[in-house]
Amino acid sequence: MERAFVAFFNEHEHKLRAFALRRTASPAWADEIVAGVMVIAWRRFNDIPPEAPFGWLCGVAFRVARNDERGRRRYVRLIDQAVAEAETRPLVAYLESDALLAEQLEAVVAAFQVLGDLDQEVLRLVAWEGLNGRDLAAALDTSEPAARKRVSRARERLRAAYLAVTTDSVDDRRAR
Amino acid sequence: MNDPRPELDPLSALGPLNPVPDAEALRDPARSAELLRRVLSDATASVRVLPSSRQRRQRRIIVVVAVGAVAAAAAFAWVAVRGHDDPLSLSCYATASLESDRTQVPPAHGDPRNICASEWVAGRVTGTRSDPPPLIACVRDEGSVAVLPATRGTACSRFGWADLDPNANRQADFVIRAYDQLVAAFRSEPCLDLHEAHATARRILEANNLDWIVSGPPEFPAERPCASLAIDPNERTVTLVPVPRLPAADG
Repeated sequence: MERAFVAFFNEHEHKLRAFALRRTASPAWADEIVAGVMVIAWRRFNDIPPEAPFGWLCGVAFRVARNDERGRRRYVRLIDQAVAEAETRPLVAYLESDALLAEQLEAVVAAFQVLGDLDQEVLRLVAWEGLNGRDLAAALDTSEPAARKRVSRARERLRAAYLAVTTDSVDDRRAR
Repeated sequence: MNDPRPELDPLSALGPLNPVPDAEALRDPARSAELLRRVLSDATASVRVLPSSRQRRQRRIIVVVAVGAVAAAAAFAWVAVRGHDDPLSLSCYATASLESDRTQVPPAHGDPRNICASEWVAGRVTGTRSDPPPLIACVRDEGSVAVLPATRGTACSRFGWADLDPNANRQADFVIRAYDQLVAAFRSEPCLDLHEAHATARRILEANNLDWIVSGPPEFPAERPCASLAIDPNERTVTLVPVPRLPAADG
């Protein structure tokens, strides 16, 4: 089993570390999360679905990360930093100006933060980890249809929150 | 006046906000080798290997509790590996259906319905913050508690479950109390060494009349001198796990 586990570790460790860094912003802490999740993977190696191993890892790591308050605070700071950096980062072509870009990204962040924890993580798994299909279902510990439904709901809630935020800001500008 | 901004798909806009856009760039053979060595060492440490001899496949519960205010590195959530067969498990269902989305919460004292009600308010049951509906609490076959919306006609018996008697003294309550005390004791100190940790765990278990095993390696490595906990109620074992001494809080 050790040989199989080492191969498994070498294939997924850096991706899992990216997952942890995206939520903790601390390399030391990310290492701890990776180590802990991989110990769990060792102990439950036979339970890991062969068709969705990384999704499974994400599911375990997600439930670790989200229950830690310090991680939540770090994540909020990371988003603020990302928004600040977005002003000089080339992004989607259809946006007309950096000023608009920064404002819209701020609105996306504000909308994102209104969502519940589960919605946020569902969207992170899709947008940042690139999960879909079986991997996403494994991460969410549910069926593929149920996972798709969760994504659809979370996406709609984000869109609604974004519209609410941007409508408020347009009204603010009109009032000036 | 029309909003001059072009339409933006907010989900698409999350992509550029990815703090780590390229996972491949994180490949570091030396670091990975060290991490692997540590994982294999921890995984094969003197922890009782949980047998798989039961007829029904069950997941075990392993909880690792952070030590000290900043040792969150090892603060694996109670729910990280908990399975559906855990007697301390509390599941908050979004609908009165076995196929429902659900969230599992760490064990805590108090009425499970109130605990799940808080989860509804926080948006962790359905993904949206909302007032909780009327709730009922049921005991599943393996002893874990499920809290469901009490829609008309919903009864625990509909799922073959028993009603939860809030007045019954569950063994889980004693374990939860010990768990709370263990967490508090370990988090109150920046770093407990192996011997201090063993004595603390032993004292708390005995105070709660729990005839459990406290296990761990014979000594801690120099780079990981502090103790964290892994608690397995099914196996009635507390395992001491070595973790690094982390720097002071970085805010």
